[in-house]
Amino acid sequence: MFTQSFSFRAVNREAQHNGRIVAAGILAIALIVIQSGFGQSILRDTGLSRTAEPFVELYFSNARALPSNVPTSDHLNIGFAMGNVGPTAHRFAWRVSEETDKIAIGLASGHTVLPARQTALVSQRVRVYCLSRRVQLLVSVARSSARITLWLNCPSQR
Amino acid sequence: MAELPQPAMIKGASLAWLRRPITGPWAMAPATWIVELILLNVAVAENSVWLLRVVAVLLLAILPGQLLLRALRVPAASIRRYITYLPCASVAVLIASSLVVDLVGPLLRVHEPLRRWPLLIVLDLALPALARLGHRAAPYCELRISELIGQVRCFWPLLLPLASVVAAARLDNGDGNLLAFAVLIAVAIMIPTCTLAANRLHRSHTNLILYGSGLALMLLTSMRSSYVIGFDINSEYFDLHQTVVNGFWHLGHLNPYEAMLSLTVLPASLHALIGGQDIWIFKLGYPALFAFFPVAVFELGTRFLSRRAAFVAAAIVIVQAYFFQQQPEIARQELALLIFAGIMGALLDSSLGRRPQLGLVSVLGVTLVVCHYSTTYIAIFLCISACFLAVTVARRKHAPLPVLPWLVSALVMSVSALIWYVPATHSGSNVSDVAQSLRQSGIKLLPGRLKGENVISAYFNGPREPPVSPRQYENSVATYYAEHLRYLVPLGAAKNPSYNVRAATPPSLPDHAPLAASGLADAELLVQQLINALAVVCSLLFALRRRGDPLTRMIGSVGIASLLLLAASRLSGTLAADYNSSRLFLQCLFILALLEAALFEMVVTRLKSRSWPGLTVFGSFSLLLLVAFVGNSGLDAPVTGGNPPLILYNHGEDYAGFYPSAQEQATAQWLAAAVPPHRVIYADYFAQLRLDQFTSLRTAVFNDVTPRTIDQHAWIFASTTNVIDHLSWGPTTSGLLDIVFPKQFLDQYFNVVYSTGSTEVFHR
Repeated sequence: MFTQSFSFRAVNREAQHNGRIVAAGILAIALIVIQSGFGQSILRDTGLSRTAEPFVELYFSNARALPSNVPTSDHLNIGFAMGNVGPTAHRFAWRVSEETDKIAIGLASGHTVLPARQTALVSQRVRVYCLSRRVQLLVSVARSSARITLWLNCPSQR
Repeated sequence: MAELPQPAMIKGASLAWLRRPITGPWAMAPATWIVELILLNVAVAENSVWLLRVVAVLLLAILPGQLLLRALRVPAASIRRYITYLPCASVAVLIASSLVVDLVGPLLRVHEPLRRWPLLIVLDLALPALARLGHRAAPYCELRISELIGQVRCFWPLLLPLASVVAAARLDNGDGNLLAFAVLIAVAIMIPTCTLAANRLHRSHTNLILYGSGLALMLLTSMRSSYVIGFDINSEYFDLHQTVVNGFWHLGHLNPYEAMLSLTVLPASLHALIGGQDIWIFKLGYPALFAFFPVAVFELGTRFLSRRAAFVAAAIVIVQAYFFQQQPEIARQELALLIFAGIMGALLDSSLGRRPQLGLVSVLGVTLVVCHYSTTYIAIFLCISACFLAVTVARRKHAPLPVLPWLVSALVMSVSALIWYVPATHSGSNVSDVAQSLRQSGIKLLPGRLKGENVISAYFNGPREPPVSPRQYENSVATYYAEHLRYLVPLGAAKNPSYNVRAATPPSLPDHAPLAASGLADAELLVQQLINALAVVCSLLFALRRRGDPLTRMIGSVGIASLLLLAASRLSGTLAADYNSSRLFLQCLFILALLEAALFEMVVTRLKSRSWPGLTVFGSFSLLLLVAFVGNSGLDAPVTGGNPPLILYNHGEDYAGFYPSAQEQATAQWLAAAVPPHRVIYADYFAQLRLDQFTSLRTAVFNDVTPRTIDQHAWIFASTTNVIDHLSWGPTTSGLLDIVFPKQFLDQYFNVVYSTGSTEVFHR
């Protein structure tokens, strides 16, 4: 009786031992596969890997000392930076405009091709029309809601 | 060894060479730890391979603790019955060895000691030293890891945390919340089912169920977003990241977070040894450690209760939102509560000899001190109060209670705290803050008590303030700024009535069943108050009853001490303001949950002449816990509506407040680089969390983003919620007020100097 119980337990232990080895093996193989390019693509395809949403950052390069008045020459140097926070290169079309309550006048436009995670500085000399006593310059990028603005007081004679 | 069944010993004979004692000058211990140490070295050296990273994690969690516990002569059987000793001891060794590297390294011209190789070298010295200390330990102190691993088929609960990780990733990617619901439902089913089956389940299986469930629930919160989620954890992560970047931590005049090794040295070391991103230590590593907390409750319970009752005690902890939603957002306390569980387990462990017990509580006491202040203070109070109560009560009893370990524990923690918080780190400002609050405001007895309200009602309702309207908030902050912050000069146009602060509607789910919502809310309140009431009855009963054994009477004494603390924080407005009562509640619940389960057990025992009481009493209570869990987790949200929980939805107030985006990170970092040293920044209550997490901008940051408080030369950080949802928050005495972000005013009078489309920075 004792011998039977003994051998049964021994077999049971052996099975447990084998089960642990199999489980550890499966885990090891799974980890190796997941880290491979194949595993990563599976994770991406199944939505299990977090995908960083690309975006543009737009800012004035001299944000600490922005002008508040339109120069008497009507011409203003405006400098801004565009950053491509995304995994691939992109072509960004930008536009500088003068905004009033009713209309928007395009002052300058262009495009910049930016590699992934790169920033480019854009410097433009624009003519401000001063259609009201206080005007707002708007810098925007096509197909993005990023926009920066600058309020300017126009010379009083206008 | 003596407890092992014969076949196991025979099976182990095939690997006997590994455990064969080494003779000669290296005669320390069986050779398994050497193999494990070599494996640890290989795993850490090649930690870029995920497989080896997992091996490193497992060995770091087990090997240091295994050697320390043997050095302290803790019997292996005691560890098997209270598995929490193992991670606690490992944490203690890792903290100590990392601190030694950090302090000694610079003396040896290692300028960045918290890097992989210095840490590994010191571990290679520390672990053999521990093995040397333990080499004469009796065979019964030899813990074999294989004995801790149960049957493979019992591992299924570990699939739950895996499902949580996947669920959080899918939710983040906008792929729906079906899997997150499935995890919650699985845990919800588990509570009553396992309560009924607990007496038949193997102990290690129950441990795995509790561990898997607790971890799965916490990961649903912590694994949301690529960044840390929560409030305090933002600043905690910043301190961790700074330590990682510097590769060095120093003593000196530090703020409380900087002085906590649980936020600096330990996670930085773990990151260096394990590899990967440092953020994973907080998002995954600490919850994995803290998930031992309910397991500890269960294992402590099995020392004097049936498995069913002990399981119910652990379930009381698991269903609390404080456990699975709040704690993953407070990294320091996750670790501290784990150590606290280890200390309580050791103090209430009659299987430990006096010296191992004192050694273990001393080591863990010092570890707790360097991990978290408040948990330490509360632990000291509980130890001293429990001793006092035990001695007072024991005068009327025949059997005295063993209070010496409690006194030693309190003494070790007090002395360590005095040294660590005062001369070592000069970081005891939180104590002086409490003292100052008490001096200035007194204890503020029942501050929320309304006129004519009775004391009991006021006690249960807790501190309350009448709701504040947007107009009242605006006037109050404008007056305060004008009187106390005169250097801030708002624009004159801010007084234009069109820019008055307006109330905003917080995002919420439609309420499809108002009756069900109301009923569930009432039921939740009832369950919570039932838990509170039971805690009072049980503590008194177990501390004072005549026929109790020393263990239950001591637990009763700790229970009364816990209740005194909870009552004090409820009665005093000053104490409630200085320390979050929900965190205190969770710490006290470690003991109170056991007492509540013990009361049910007592009732069942009295009715034992019949077969139904056990199933009925515990089954009914588990259903009540299920009600609490449904409400706390937000499982009811699709039906009852209200604020959508963060663990299930990509919208709602929690999502708006706590969920950081890549755009917010970029904006915060740009702001930190762009602003001059002398500047004023405005960021609302939750937007400031982004600054806390991603920048060192701490001073001169104001949360009242209203036209009449914004300085005309300020920099205003607008989060995604501010820009997209036009939602902001005003901090008031009655809580946060949902208000409309003053975008119209800012657009009119400030320049937008930075934009990502969903975030902006205003300046003029």
